[in-house]
Amino acid sequence: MFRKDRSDEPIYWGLFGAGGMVVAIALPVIILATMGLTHSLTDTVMFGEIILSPLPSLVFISLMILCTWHALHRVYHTLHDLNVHVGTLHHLVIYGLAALISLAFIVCWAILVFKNIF
Amino acid sequence: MDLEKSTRQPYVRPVDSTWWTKKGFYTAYMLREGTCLLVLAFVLEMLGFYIAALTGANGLWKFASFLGHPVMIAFNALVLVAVLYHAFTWFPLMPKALRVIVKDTKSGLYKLLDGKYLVILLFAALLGVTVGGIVLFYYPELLGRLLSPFGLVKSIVESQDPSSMPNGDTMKDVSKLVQDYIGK
Repeated sequence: MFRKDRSDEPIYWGLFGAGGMVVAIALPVIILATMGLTHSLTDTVMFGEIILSPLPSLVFISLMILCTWHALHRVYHTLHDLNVHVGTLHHLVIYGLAALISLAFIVCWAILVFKNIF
Repeated sequence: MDLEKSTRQPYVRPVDSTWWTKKGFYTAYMLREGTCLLVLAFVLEMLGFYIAALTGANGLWKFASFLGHPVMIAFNALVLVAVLYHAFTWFPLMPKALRVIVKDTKSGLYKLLDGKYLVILLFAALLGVTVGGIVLFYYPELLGRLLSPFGLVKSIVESQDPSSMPNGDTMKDVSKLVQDYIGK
C-alpha cells in the first residue's frame, strides 16, 4: 500500500485462506446451533453464554472476522468474472467494508466486556 | 491495485455476462464463488446478535425469536447448504493453491501427500468437529458448565426485571423460564 513496487494481495489472500478454513470447518456447527436457538430459553442462554462471554467470544468474533474477510475477498475477485473491472475505488470500498464489520464486532465485544466489569 | 501505469489503453475482450450459464463446470464455479454472499449474510446475523445483546436481555430474546422464525430457519438452512458446498470444494482446492517447495521443486503439497491423504485428514477433522458440535448442541450444559465462570448472560438476565418483559407468543412464560434458569 505504501510501496508502489509491492502488492498488498498476500495479506488479503492470507485472511481469505484462513477464513475459508473457518467457513469449512467451524461454520456448519455454528449455523446448526443458531437454527436450534429458540427451542428453549436455556439453549439461548447457553449459546449466548458461549458467544457473549469475554474469552469464548474473543474466539468467536475472531472466527466471524476471518469469515468476513474471506467472503469480501471472494466478492472482490468475482467482480472480474461479472465484467466489473476492479480499481482503487472497489478495493477501498470492499476491504473498507470488511474492516468496518471487523471493527463493529470488536466494539461490541469491548462494550459487553467493560459493561460486565464496571 | 495497479502497480504500473501504461500509456496505452488495455485491451479488454468483451465477455457475455451469462457466460457461466453455458457450461456446467462454469456454473459450479460461480455457485462456489456465490457461497461467499450467504456467508456474509450469516456474519451480519451474528453481528446483529451482538448488537441485540447490547440492549440487554430483552433484545437478546427478541433477536433469538427472530432467528427462530420459519423464514429465518429456512434461510439459515440455505446458508448451511452453501457452507457445506464450500467445504466440499475447499479441501480439494486448497492444496492446489498452496504451493510448497520441497527439495528445490515446486511440487506442491497436493503432489507431496498424493492428494488423498490431506483430503481424508481434513474431512476427518470436519467430521470430528461436526459430531462434537452436534453433541454440544443437544447437551449444551456440557460446555456451559465449563465456561460458566466467565458467564455474562446471567448478569445481563439478572440486570433485567423479568416481569417487565413484553408478553407475546414468543415471550410466553419467559419470565418464569428466566427465573428457573437463574435459580438453577
